[in-house]
Amino acid sequence: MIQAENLHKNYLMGRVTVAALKGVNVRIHAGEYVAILGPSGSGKSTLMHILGCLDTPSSGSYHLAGEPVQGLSRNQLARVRNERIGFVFQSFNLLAHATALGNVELPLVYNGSGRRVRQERAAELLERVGLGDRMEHRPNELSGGQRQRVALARALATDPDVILADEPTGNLDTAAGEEVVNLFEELIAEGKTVIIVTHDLDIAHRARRIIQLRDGRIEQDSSPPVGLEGSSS
Amino acid sequence: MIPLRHVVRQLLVERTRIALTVLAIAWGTASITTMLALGEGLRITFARSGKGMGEGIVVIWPGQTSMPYKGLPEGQPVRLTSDDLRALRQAIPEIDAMSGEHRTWLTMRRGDTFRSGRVHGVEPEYGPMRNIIIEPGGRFIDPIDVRTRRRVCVLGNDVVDELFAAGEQAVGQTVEIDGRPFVVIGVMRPKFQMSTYGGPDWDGTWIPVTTFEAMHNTRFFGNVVARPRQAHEMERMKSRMRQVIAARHGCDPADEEIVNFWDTLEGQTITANIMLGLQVVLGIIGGLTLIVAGVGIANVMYVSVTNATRDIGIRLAVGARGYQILGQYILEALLATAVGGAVGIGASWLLVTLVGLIPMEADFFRFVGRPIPILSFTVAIIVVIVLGVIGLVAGYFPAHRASRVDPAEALRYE
Repeated sequence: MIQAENLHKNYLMGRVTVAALKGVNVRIHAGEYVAILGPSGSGKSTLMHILGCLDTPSSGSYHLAGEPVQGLSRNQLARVRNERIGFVFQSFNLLAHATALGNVELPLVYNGSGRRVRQERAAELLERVGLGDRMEHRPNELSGGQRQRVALARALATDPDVILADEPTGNLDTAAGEEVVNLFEELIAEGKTVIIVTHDLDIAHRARRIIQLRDGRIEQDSSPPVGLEGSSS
Repeated sequence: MIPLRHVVRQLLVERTRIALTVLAIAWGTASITTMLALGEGLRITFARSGKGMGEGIVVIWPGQTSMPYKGLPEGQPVRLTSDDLRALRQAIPEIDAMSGEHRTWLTMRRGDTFRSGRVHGVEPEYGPMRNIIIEPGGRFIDPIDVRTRRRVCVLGNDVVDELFAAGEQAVGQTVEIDGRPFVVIGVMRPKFQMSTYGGPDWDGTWIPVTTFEAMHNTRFFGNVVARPRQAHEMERMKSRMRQVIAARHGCDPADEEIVNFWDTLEGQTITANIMLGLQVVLGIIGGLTLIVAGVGIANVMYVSVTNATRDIGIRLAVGARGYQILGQYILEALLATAVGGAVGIGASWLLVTLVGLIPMEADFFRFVGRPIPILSFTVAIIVVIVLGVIGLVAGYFPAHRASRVDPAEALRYE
């Protein structure tokens, strides 16, 4: 599903070039449940942005579902994000002025779905994440856990192959975080690829594979859970 | 495309700012619309009253020679008669209509009412040329009147008001002109008349040219009125007339002074141009106000785009294409402009209607008519096009910036 080779990403900070990724190779198969673990500044957010086609690498190649992503235009990347990737962010990133339903509809607005299709699909997804009675609520009328479930429903709107989650439980209490993680596990059971970026060891251990980043390089990539001493944040 | 409620919602985020901008657009629209409507009203009023004396006619006064010719010294008077007119008609096909005109002041009487009246002796073609439209039930002088020297007359509407009681039927009654009885055959419908020679038509009385000549034992016209078939034949007709008259009266064909022309077509063109110029100036002033309002819209939109950077990032993350973001913000600007424009046009319509209702009296209005601002279809179309362009331009630049937002950076933006 994901095949990235020798990814480099450099940022220009004033006159100084900062290397955020220094040659990362990742291969993730369809249906995998992967945690990307690392302290802040390790490059894990950058990696997630590149894997999610929100950003492009400075060099290296990236194939998503067998198709090369480098060299695509902004609009083509937007289309890939729309069709193949669902995002879940730490700070939810919901539109404050739209209802839960409106937020979940958003990806469908941009793929040109009709109003009725959008509303039916969004309602179905909100039912699924247990918010059938909160559809007309705005984000500020919802708890953190509810907001993150709205975000998850939005990520699923166009039925993408890959769910990318950036610290999805970072702003949630343990109980709410647990509900969200359970939902991820349901998705795995359905065959979706789930990639969670986190520095929370408990969350990471729920995944079947942990990729550990440090200083822009992969320090450890272990399929079975192994000892993760040294990871901190 | 993007549902309209997204756009409306976005607009409402910047409520106060957008309200002020919409107000500015409304003000600009109201001022451009009202000014154009004022100009339109003036233009139409002047165009109408400019035609009061006749459309595309020329008035010809006989003059005197200014060059010695064939042994005759300069200063010979040139006098025009029906024979001259007959010759002109034969020689010049460009002449569409023509009439000689005599004019004098005579005493008029009906019962105990006397007045001093301006009486014209004219031919049948004179009426239509000079836009003397007869009220229903009457007619203008016809060829039989001329041939048989009938004692019939056509009265200007003021003359009727003086000699007849209100509501009294004038046609068929007899009035006395210079002691002789004349039957009234027509009454002129009231009209606006900006230019005159001798006096306004509402004050005039017309009798057949032959009757006039018999009464006064004269053959020499005070002036002649003529109209070419087409406006563009005016110059040719005038120069041919001068040639024919010069030939018949033994004058130098190059002598410009033998006849004097008053070409009303020139005046009408000048008036029309002045009015158009006035309207353009008023339109530009209004347009500038609108442009200032457009800059306001662009400004608000820039702020709105900056404040919404994170939202734009979210939209991009879930797959919005650049052009979809662009479209959303342009739509926003157009919507704001449309609302402001609608309010402005409404306000202007109200203003124009109210101005039209204010009673105004002035002698001047007798001649040109009362200028009433007119919110015409043309004015509305011009305003809508100007508004649309301003909305598009004002929206494009902020919208373009929004569409170029980097999604990864926007999501980090607080």
